[in-house]
Formats: sequence, structure tokens, C-alpha cells
Amino acid sequence: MGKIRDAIVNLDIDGVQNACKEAIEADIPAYKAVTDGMAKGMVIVGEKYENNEYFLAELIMAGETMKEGMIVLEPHLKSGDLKKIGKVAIGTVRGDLHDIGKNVVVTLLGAAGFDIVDLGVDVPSEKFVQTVKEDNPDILGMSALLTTTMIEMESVIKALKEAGVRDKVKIIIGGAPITQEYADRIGADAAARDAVQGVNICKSWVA
Amino acid sequence: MNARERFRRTMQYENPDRLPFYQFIGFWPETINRWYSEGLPLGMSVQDYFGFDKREMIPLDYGPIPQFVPKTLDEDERYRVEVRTDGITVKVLKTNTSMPGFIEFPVKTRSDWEKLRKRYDPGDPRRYPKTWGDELIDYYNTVDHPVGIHLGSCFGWARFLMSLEKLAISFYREPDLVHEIMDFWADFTVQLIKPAVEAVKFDFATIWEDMAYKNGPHISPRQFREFMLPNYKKVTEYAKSNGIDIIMVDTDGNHEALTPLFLEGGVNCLYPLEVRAGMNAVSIRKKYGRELRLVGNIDKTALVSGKEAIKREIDSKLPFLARDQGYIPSVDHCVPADVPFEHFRYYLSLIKQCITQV
Repeated sequence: MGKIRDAIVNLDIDGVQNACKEAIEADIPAYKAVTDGMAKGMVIVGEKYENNEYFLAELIMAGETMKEGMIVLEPHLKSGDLKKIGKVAIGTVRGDLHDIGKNVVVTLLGAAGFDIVDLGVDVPSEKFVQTVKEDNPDILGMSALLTTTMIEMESVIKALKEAGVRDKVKIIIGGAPITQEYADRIGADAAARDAVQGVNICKSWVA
Repeated sequence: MNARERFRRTMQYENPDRLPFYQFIGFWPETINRWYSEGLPLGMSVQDYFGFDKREMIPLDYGPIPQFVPKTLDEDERYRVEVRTDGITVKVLKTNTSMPGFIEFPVKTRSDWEKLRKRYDPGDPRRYPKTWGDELIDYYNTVDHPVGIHLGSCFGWARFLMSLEKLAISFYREPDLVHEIMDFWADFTVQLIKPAVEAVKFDFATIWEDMAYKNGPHISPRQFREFMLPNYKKVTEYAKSNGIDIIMVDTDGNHEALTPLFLEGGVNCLYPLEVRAGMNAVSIRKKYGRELRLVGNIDKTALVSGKEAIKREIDSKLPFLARDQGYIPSVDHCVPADVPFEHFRYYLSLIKQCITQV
């Protein structure tokens, strides 16, 4: 397990598959390799990012390394093996097509054990409301890159209130112009400074 | 004092009559459209209306020649999917509220790169203006406003060839390819600008990167040092050997971790210094001294908030920076569409007072 964890931490995309194969050959359950190897590695990657040892490129590379390892582990996973710690619905708000930040968050949420409903980009408020009603996520995440598009977040929260489902979910927002002050003003529960902090906030909500 | 002399003296700390008067990064088109309904005379340019100082760039073509054939692949009421002349397939929102979403990039494999690089012949005469010659050279050398030359983009270009995600992964999986692309940029640039810089005394040069976001640079200082620094040195040393004293880099976001490396690479001016990303021109000047010239750093969100916030923002920076020189005031990115015309007019009225306090 340590080898898998270290392959993730060291961004060893060529070595991670071998480490996963070794785990399978040693009769280690695939879900243990994910939770005790991959996921722990991603936690350390997140810490390195927060400490400015790793940058965005390393976050992306760690996600890619994990995907490479999952190619080996996935066929050995049985349905229900991986207990999900919560469900997050996430999307970039209407009028905004940016998805790099959101996609990094989605990768890290997946690594942390969340079930994810990725709504994509340019998501209208009706779609957010519908998803909260039908998919019952624990958390709703919204992303925006521009000051001119972040105002859509307020519209989504209003629409959730009008539909009577605002209190069904915790709401986290993120993106270049987003601040905690703005989150407080529009009635979101938290603003994420970055992807790693965002995932940590989500984890704290479902703990 | 004309705009050219003012620019040079400002950047060399030689007591200009006032600081240059620019909105250096420009405006989003939607902002101008909004302002036409708020008092900007219809059809009038902001340059003319506000009376900004002039500057210009020699229009060299850094793109692929031949260009990719632009075509629309799909379209509905809300979106258009199109191939651009740079070979990138983008999804465009017809509301114009967002930069495009990137769908496909021209370099997916080494073989793609081998083919693409053939479109980048630095000696292709079509890269220079059709009017290139003694008359244009004389104009650039004698015109009364500053003239700059663009030096392209190292990281930004590589990202537009292959996407940010693939570039990030390629630093680890295909470092030779990244080296090759970034080395190519330096050699291409030096060859491309040679006729221009040998004939014209440019006042400044610009490099576009956009390689940071609010939490820091996209890549580590280690990657910058290994992949970019030698190429930066090659390009900036060549530019400086031809009399270009001011080398500016345009990168959004918080590039603090890379600032020393930009300086080591021969860059001596950074912009637009986004406030919401944690950049502060006063702190940067105090930390790096006069070697690093600065442009921008007026918080665009203050211009949204109102007059009190605008005054507070300017009072916190301009008196110090104007006195110290080596600084050009500007909003810290394109002026966004949520800035009312009246707020911008008020902002400029304060700027006009401050730039004389050198």
C-alpha cells in the first residue's frame, strides 16, 4: 500500500500500475488499495499543494497518476466495495464555460471518496435546483471565473430557496473572484480558497 | 514632453512630467457596449473619449502560416463550436459572458507537433507588415509615442498548443517534447524579431504568459527554472543587446513564487498584478526595488463597488508609486462589464490627479 501511496505522492505515473499489480497479486483487496494507497497519497499531495511544494501542474498530474492506477484496480472492484462518504453535485454557473478549476475539484473529490454529479459548465439555476431535488446531494458546489458570472451563484441560491430545497444541501462556491465575504453575502455556506481546501471543507461536512 | 519620452523616463526613474495615462490591459467589449448606454458617445472609442496617451506595437504575426481554416462545426441558439485560425476548437457562448471553452488542441502527439512546427517559419516575410521598409522604420523611430514589440509566449503558447492539462502532464511524461516546444519558441522569436530590432529602437517588449491564478503559478519554480529560464534568457538577452531596455511580462494571477525567476530571466516589468490574487504593487516594489517596474494593480472590483472603494484603493497605492516612478497606473485586468461608466470616469479623474505627483 505504501508503494501505491508513494507513487501518487511522487507523481510516478509509470510506477503506479506496477504498484497496483503487486497489491492485487498479494491478494490485497482492490478497495483497500484505493482507500489506503491512492486516497492517502492524494491527501499528501493536497498537503504539499497547501504548503507550496506542489502547484497546479502537480495536482493535475496526481489526478492523472491516480487514473492510471485505477485502470489496474477497477476490474477488481466489486459493486459497493468503495463506500462513498457523501454526494456532491457540482457545476460552473450559467454564462461561464470555465472548467479547469472545477475539474480539479471533481478529481480530488473522487479521490476523497465522494459520489459526484458533474453538471458541467454554463449550468442554469433550474438545473441546479432539479439536481438537488432528484439526486439528493449532500453538497452543492458552484464555480465561476469572472465577477460578471459569479452573480449567477446568488440566483441559484434564490432559486433553491424558492423551490424550498435550500436547506437540503450545504453550498460551497469557488473560483477566481470568490471570497468568504461574497459567500456570506449570498447565503452560501462556504467559499473555497482552492481545490484542496474545498475538498477538506466538504469532508468536514460529511464527517 | 511627448508620450514616448514620458514612457522612457517613467520606466528609467528619470522624473517625467507625469506618469503615463493608460488603461494598459484594455476593456472587455461588453463593457464598452454598456457604456454607450451610460454616456459614452455612441461609436466613440474610449481612447479618444478619455484622451489616453498613445502607444503602439509593431504588428508581427506570431501565429501559424498558413493559418488553420476557420470553420463552424456546430451551432445552436446559445453556442457555436468552431475551429479557430490557431487550430484550437472552441465552444463559444453567444452571450459573450465567458471566454471560450476549449474542446480540442492541435498538438495531441509528438507527430502533431512535428507537423505543426512547419507552420512556424520565422523567416516567412508574411510575418512582417506589408509596409515594412525604410519608411515604416523611420516612422517607428521618430513617432512621438512609445513603440513596442511582442516577443510571443513561452508557457502560454505551449498551453495553447496542447491544453493546460496535457502540458501539466507532459512536464512529467514527455519532458523532451516540452523542452523542444519551449526551445523552439526562443529560437523562433529571436529569428523573427531580428530585422525589426536591428532597425528600430523599441521602447519596450512584451511577453504574454498568463501562467498563474489566484492561488499561485500553474507550474513550480523548479519547472520554470528547467524549462523556461534558459529560453527567457536567450530572448531577453537578444532583445537587450538590441537596445530594448524594458521587457514586460503579462501574467494574471499570483505569480509571486515566480517573480525572482522572471527577474533572473531578464524581465524587468510585470503586469497586471491582480489584487484579488493577492498581488500588491507597493509591497512588490518594497521587496524587489526599482529593478522591477510595475503596471496595473488597481483592483477592478473597487471600480464595481463605488467611489469610496475607488478612492480608498487609489489612496493606498498611487501616492507612493507615483513618487517612486517605474510604475504605470491601470486597472488590474480588462475593465469588466459590471463597472458603471460613471465609476470609471471617477476613477480616471483621481488617476489624472495622482499621475502628476511624481
